[in-house]
Amino acid sequence: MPAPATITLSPSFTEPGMIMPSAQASHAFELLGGRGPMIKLGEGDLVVYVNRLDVRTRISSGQTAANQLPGIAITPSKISTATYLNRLRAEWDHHDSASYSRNWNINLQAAYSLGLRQAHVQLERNALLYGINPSNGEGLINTAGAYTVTLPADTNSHSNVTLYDPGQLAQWLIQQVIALKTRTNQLGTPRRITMVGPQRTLGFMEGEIVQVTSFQRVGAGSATIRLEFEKVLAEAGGDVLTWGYDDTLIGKGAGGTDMVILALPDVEPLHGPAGLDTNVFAGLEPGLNFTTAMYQDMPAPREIIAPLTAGATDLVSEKRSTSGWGLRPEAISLLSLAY
Amino acid sequence: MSGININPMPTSNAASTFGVDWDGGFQGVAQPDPAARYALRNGILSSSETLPMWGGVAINELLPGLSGGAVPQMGSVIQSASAVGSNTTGFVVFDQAYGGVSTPQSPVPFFSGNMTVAFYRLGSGARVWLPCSANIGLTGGVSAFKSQVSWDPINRQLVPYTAAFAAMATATSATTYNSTTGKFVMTGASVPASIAAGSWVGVAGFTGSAAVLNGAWQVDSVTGTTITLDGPTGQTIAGGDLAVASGQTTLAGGGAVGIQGIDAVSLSKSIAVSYAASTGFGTWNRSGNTLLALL
Repeated sequence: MPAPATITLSPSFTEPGMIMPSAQASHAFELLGGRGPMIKLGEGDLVVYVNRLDVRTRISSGQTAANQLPGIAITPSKISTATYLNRLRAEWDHHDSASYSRNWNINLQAAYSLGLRQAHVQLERNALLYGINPSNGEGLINTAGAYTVTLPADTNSHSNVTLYDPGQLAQWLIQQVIALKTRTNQLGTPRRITMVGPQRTLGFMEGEIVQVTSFQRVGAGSATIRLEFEKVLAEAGGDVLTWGYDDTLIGKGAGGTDMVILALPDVEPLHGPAGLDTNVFAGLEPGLNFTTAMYQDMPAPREIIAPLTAGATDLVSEKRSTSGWGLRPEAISLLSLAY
Repeated sequence: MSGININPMPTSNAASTFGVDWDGGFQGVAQPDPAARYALRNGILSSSETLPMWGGVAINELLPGLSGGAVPQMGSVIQSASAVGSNTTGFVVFDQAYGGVSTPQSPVPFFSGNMTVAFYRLGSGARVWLPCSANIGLTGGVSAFKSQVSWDPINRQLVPYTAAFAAMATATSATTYNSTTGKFVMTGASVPASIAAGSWVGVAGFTGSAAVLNGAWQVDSVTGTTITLDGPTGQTIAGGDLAVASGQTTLAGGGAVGIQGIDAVSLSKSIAVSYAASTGFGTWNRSGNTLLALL
């Protein structure tokens, strides 16, 4: 809409700076391998495929040589996800832009341009977490085969985060990371672990101190749940925790609880000592080390600007993106925590 | 004719890529063998075959006709084996069969009617990993290399051996069917001694809406002359079609599938094919059961 006319007293002073609406800057994209979408799509690509390889072996063993030997079988196959072209537009005429610049100190085209980008990233965040088409298995929380768990009651029978014993909550979170690294064969190696959840849930863990008890426990009396969690992970396994927020996850857990997504987005194949590597096959190139992915055709939306008759302007913004894609479901833990 | 179902835009993922080791069998793949590889044959999947074909399926090989149908140069006409023991002549394999079609939702390479399929004949000396049931009975201690096994043409896997028996005609005029459990009951004048719970038998002779009960089924229990079979679930069968005349339906089959021996068994660690008849999709079961059969 055009900027309105206003009535002000004179003399007066108007502050040139403007108070802008502030949306939550989501950390959800930290859940992706490579810490963000991969800009690899062509403009018209409808589907993304990733190839995988399977192998099975059998070997013969004896003190002398046999000639009828067992062997190896490998087979490649593809996994896929759909891409979506996201578009929206803005239109204004030169009177609209004049009304904003004259009275309100705003460049209307710049405002529309950023607003269009805001629409894209909001959709992309939803696509990442929940999928453009959730029933098709798109979105990280809809990943078929992802590990799901609900916070069990503590020893005081509390199952809400706000009432939970802080030390036990930190322990439970550490155990979730251990389980995640165990499922993905990453124990013993420092990894980037990403945990994204609502501000109210994770924020509570940043303020709640692990209580002193009659027995010794890490952080008692000094560390918050988050601090103990991060400290133990860092000291024990060298893991670096990316701790992030996204309030759309409120109520997205099992039974309306809050969803906290724990992911190990990058898994490099671990190798044993030279010559005795029981994971030697994984060294075949080209390997892909991401467990989660989102593919896009450009880092920022394309803007197509065109003059219309009678002084108007048309601005179309478009970008192609997949939903969030859990490539290797074992690397995703979906934690349901009642607030 | 069998077709290959395609859903062009599924979202799928690569589950089961983290493991302890990759020891195990691979359904439908022959072990490398410089001698046996020259026994690999090509055939054309019958245009009347109603299901797609993949490696590790027992087949019944037919000579091409002298006129009409597929030209003889394309090799034998291949059908999936339909009986427990008697009509298997070989097994389809994935070896050199790079014409199979794989899609993200159905990654197992499938062959539809009129496509070329590769197979080894029984007696060829090839050693092929074949799918087997978990209760194949070869897990505890040593087993005879010559252990006989039967073929389950419904789930398309090797199953514990059921001795061949003469056809048994049903004696009574009523058959009951439970659509929830799939179980149906047949009563014979005398039950052949080789039929017991777990045996695989062939049923023939049902007509009308009861024709879905024809085929090979596993015996659930035997009580006197009453045999309860694990049939298909969810079928709607008219009572009139179940009320068959005495002698109209028969139980037959059993018999060994005709492999020369078993080299190895790999339970729960093999890659096997999982076929969903409802969707027509084939997926890899990476904790499947196979045995290495000497054909």
